[in-house]
Amino acid sequence: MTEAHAAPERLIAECIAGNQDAIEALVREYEAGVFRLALSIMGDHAEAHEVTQETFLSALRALPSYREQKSFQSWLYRIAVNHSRSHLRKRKTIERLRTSLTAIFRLEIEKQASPEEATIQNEKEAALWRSINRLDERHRIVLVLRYFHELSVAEISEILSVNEGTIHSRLHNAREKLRDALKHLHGE
Amino acid sequence: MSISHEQAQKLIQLGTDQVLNRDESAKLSAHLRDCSACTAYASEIKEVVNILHPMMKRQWNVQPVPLSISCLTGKNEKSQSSNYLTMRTAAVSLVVMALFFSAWQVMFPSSSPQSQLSPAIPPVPTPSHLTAQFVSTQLTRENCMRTLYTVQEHDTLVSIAEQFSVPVPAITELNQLEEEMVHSGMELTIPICHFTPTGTFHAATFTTTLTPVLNFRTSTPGG
Repeated sequence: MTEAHAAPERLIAECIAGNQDAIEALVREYEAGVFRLALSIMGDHAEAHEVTQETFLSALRALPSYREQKSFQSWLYRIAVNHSRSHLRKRKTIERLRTSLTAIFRLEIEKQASPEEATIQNEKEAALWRSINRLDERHRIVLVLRYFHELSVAEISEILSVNEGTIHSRLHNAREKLRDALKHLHGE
Repeated sequence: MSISHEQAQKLIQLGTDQVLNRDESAKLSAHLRDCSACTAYASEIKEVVNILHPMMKRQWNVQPVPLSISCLTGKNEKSQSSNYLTMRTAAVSLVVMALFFSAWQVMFPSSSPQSQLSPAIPPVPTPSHLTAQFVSTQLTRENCMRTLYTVQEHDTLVSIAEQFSVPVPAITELNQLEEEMVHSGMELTIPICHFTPTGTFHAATFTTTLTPVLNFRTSTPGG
């Protein structure tokens, strides 16, 4: 994920000017990264695709305001994280509503199999996934950015607009919880 | 100067995210030489990290469907996407309203059987007008709630029908019973909101897997 940290200045200028080829080049360069980021936060392909689209729509609109103090990737990822979070919030509201409705009607909702199950290879991974899913959103995002996207603490801090000390401490707490999950597994 | 276990563990964690400076690194190695607990801690954290990366890659390293550039640059896409969202939100709210309305009906069932005979359809009932009859276009025989009932000893088709306030033919028809005989242990599907043709209504006092007591009624013109 470290391949293209700064989009060439000229490419961005041409995108701002409305050059379709430049826009296509920019989108193709970053869309996989943005999609995977959204997917890792949302865990749902359709929603991740929606977030990717929204991210590029916002980014292309906001491109004239992009300043090069930050890497382009961090800037774009930040937009993607914000869109993902807003989707998560919507999802939470809907889920809360659904929970209360099912409580009223005593209905059983079909539980969807967690997509993770398909790729879990052993007990340890299963325990870690469970633990990751129990983490709150702030810890989970930091963990995903660090270990899936292989970003440095400085980059994560830039994307989330949170200082590096906080990122360190969130990573610390998250790893501690995951370590506990493995220890419990060994203990049982 | 030696460091505490807590400080050592903090450095172990820090060391997984960045290179420790010479001083930190020296302190940590000195501590780890004598402390087996912190050495174990370090290897546990390392194990977590080693599993995490490949596991997440396997899970999420997928190639997305390429975005349509014309959608991104055209003005229509944005409105389409927000239209879709608006429609989805509207649909969800409608469903929610319908469900709440039904829940309210469940909680405040009408107590006047006479009103059932009236073909007049009053407007949306209000708490001050509890005798009003709820007529829902969604409440058809097909989508009305059904429940499973296991026939108990001493049950007869008539007693079951009375218990659920539904006519006997409704049960025989739904369960495709050739004769009006049931035996204990038999599973019957009861169309619990089937309206009684006479228009009379018995308060249903059944105990089944479904907890709320449902007193849905519908009327048909002249019914």
